[in-house]
Amino acid sequence: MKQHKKTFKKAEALTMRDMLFYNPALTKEELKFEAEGIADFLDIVFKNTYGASYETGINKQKAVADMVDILIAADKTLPHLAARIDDDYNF
Amino acid sequence: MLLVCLPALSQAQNIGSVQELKDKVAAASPLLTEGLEAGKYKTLANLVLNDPGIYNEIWGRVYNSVRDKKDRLLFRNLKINFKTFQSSDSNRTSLGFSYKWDYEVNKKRTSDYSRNEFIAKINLAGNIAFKKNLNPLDFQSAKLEIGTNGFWGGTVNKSAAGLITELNKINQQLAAIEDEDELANSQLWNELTKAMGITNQYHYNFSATGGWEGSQDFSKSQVTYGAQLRFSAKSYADKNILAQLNVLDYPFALIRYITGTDKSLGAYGAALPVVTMGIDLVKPTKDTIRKQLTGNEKQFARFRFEAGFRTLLLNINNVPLHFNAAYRFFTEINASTAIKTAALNRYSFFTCSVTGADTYFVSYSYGKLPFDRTNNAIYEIGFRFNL
Repeated sequence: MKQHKKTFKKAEALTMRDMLFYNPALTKEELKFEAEGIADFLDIVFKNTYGASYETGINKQKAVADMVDILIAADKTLPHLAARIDDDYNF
Repeated sequence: MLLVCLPALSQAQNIGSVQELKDKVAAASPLLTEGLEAGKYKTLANLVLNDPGIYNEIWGRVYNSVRDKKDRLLFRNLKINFKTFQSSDSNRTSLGFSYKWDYEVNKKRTSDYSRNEFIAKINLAGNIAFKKNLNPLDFQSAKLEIGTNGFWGGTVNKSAAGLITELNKINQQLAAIEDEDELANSQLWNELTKAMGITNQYHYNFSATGGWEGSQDFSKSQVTYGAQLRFSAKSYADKNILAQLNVLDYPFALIRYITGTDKSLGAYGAALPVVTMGIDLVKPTKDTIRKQLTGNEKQFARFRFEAGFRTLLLNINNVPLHFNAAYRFFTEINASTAIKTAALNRYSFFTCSVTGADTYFVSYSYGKLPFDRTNNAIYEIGFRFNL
């Protein structure tokens, strides 16, 4: 998604504020709006490209909201995001 | 200097003796040691007490300790950032903070595959300087927003079972690459994105808004209601026409190319700006200046335009530097001559910064927001620590 240029291993240390979408000059509503775009796209990629399904009790609304919560938290890392995705999707 | 050394001091969590503490102080800051020896306690105390980094550190620890608790959902959405305010016409500074809080009253999707939703949310935001006359961002707001949020595009092909296995293999191969340049130039990306069939994403939000806005001491305030459209387009695929329309990124694309950050010249489709446009009806409730100028506090219409943009500036030794910007413009529609003459019909505010690798930033802001009387140029430079 063109959010960073690090290798998979080095990306472990990246936080959300290092991502291309995380503009600190945006209002919280604008930043959340941008994060929703990222989360919606990821949700579709997981389901369509990688054949993922939601875990029991999870739907699109919850999965996207969970991703957005992480995406807008400046200090959360990519492993934090990956862990939340792993909680919500069955790959 | 002290701003740099103080957060380092807070790393000293396991100090066992006075001597150890002295050693930590000496290692963290020769300036602090000299100050203590010279007996300049009052000056040092002022520096410490006026350092927003100290308060951000304390607030961060409190916030992180409670934000993930399930019974603290309202608290989780509260963001507070302590900072130093200074206007261009004065060397005086004031400690203060900005705050943001929002809460979604209702959010409902009809199915797992629906991509449109009804939204209703409340948000609060503002800047508070402890010496209010030194606040160049003297603006607070409380808003209710009701509307719809949705997407066009931003989809990928549905993969057959065999293809999913192939794509997972490609991902594993990409994950094994340990060199950034090799990763960026890998042909595997082309295979992956071609198989995925990524379409451009268009994200919109159309809503009715209403709320209150005012100065930090509530001496001026107004009620607003109106409608707004927020829009963002993104291209996540390579060499895309939509990406080429990102003219804001052209100068940065050139810098990236010249510095070798990018091997080919091209704007980023993922860095297209987010844009908000709205028309508000504004009813002043406490605005003595407007009352003096026009003889009344009648409702007026206002157009606003807001845009945010962020892109990669360059990589230095694999450390990315990003350029961040936001522009906000407000203009009164059919403003009276008296309001125009007093330059109260139009406000614009621009802020930009360069941030790098979670460690430092340089920023510049210029302009005024509603309720500011003069344009203020604000420069900031700072360091950020992960403790």
